[in-house]
Amino acid sequence: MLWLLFHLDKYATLSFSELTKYTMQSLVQASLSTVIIALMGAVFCMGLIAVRNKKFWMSLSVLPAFAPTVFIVISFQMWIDRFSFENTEGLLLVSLVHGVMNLGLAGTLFYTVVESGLASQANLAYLEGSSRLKIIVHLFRAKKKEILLILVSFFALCFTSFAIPMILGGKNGGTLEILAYTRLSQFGDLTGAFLISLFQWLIFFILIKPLSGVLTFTQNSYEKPPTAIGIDWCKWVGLFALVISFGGMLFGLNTGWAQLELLMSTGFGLFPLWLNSILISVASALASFIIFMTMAYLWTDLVLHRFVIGFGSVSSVLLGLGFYSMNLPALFKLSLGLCILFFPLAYRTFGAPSLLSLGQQSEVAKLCGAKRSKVFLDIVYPQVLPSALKLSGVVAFWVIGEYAFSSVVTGELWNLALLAKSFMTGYRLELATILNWIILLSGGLIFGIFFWSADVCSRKLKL
Amino acid sequence: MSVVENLNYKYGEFSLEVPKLEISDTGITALMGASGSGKTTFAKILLGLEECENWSWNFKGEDLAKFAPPERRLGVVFQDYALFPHLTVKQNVFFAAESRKVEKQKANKLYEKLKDKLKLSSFENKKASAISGGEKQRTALARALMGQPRFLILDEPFSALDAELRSEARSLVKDVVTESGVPSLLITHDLEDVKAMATQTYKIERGQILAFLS
Repeated sequence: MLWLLFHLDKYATLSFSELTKYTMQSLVQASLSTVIIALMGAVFCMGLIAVRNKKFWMSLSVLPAFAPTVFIVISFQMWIDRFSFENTEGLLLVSLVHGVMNLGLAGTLFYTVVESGLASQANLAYLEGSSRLKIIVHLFRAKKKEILLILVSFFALCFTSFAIPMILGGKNGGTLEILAYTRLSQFGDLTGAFLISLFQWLIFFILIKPLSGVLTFTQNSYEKPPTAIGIDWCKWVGLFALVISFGGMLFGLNTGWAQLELLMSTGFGLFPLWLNSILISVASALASFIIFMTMAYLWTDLVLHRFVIGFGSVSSVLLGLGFYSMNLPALFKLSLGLCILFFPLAYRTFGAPSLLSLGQQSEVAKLCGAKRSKVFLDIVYPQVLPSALKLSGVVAFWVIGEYAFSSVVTGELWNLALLAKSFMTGYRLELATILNWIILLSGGLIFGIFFWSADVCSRKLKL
Repeated sequence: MSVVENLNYKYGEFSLEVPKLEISDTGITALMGASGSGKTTFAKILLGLEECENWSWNFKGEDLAKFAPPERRLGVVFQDYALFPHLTVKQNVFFAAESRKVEKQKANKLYEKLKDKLKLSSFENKKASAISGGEKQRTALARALMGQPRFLILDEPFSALDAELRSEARSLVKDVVTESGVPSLLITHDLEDVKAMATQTYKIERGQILAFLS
């Protein structure tokens, strides 16, 4: 971004009406997506309250929210004819996709809110004979701040959505991210794209930032609410999301395979693209590993930790523009850029808990007189190594299926995900599906190697 | 006698005010108070884990408050012991000696002595994550003494132990600490700890040191 600020050499050719239109579309799409996520998430939450094996249902239902977008998009296209939506209802389609892929995560988060401090009240109300509706309404009213925080997060996620509107948005589903991307890819208007991204950032901060300071997630004790107040059949909503999000990838495999063979027979160089995908994935994983270990070395200095926890890359396009403008090898730009995009989420999930648990040990080690390097090598490094490997594996998996940011940075068919994207936009869905399977298997293999290594380390350390 | 002076600490509505506190150079000084009274905060300030300005801790002619936490050379046993779970008991204890660069021969000698007194031999090669609460406590004490500290802080060292183990642990810790000759501060809420171990006692309530009980 800083680099861009000093290289605004092209004059922006952006019209005000275009900006207004896309701003409205972004806002409407994000609002509609959030409403769908809230409603469907609440239904799934009722199912989670009712079921006994909650962890199983939660793990299944959150998969679509954490899988690389390329899998979800291709699957949706196999279920729904995108072109019947494209001219009029792209916005609705994008909102539906957002809703379906995030409902499991929303339901799980809502359930966590119910568990954190409200379950004992629910138990008491149930024993005293309150109706299910009364208990549920009370639960949601009592935790409205936490629920609002969850919804605000989903709004932010959908408002800045890039990969899904890029393929499914059609004529009225484009967001500001898409407008910025279009200015860049079709008109080479770097300044315009930059200004749009900044404008989006501004709106985001005006809408979201004031709320994020007010809303905090309070966590008391965890206790399960009575299963009788849940609704058992609602659990199937989670499974529905899973099937819709991934099931489409099972269609058209034979046709896709035949098309791929045909493509290969023309001498198309698929292997170099596959190799690039692997390289980016592994390089991003290594970059994440290095960043995490740097944070571990500096532990218990919390500056980097706070930065990463609070980091939200509002605009993939803006970040992409920064890297696009740099005269560096694509592998370097992509792996570093994708690492910046995906590392914070992976860190929040896998890295931060393991580092935070070592706070007291690090303090004691320092009090013992150990130098920073000794604290790191003897205490921190061995204990965070499994988490670091897991974190890197997750980043590798996410990165290998990314196409939106990559297309901003490279602007060419550089890896398999970008090729799959070009097939998707060209409506060659069967071929895109086959490529997705190759991406999935390759990503799964890299992910598996990292997780297996993490498991070996954990067992050796007997943690 | 070491003297802590002008220690004023504020966190939100809580404030800790210690105008002057004299700690004996020998034996165990206890600081007793209910939870939330400020005793652990006081210990954390002494250790350097909480920032506090313009206070002093005059210890044998040196103001320890001016030293960076590791340079204060304090030993500490926390309530949950904070052992390194991936290291063996022996490695945990030797970590302190290596960090303080205690000469190898001297460290071995000291370890043998501590091992004998604290009965570590039966589990010295076990990982810290695999030993019992009582064993963890003895390991934590051995680690604290291994670095040859000038002062020892015991922060609720018995609260994680079962009632039956506590009285045995008290007399063991008292014997070892007394014999080591390292002046110590015992942070506790339990009158039994004070009765069994302390040579002098202060009571703390709502951030104020109230009384000195000899």
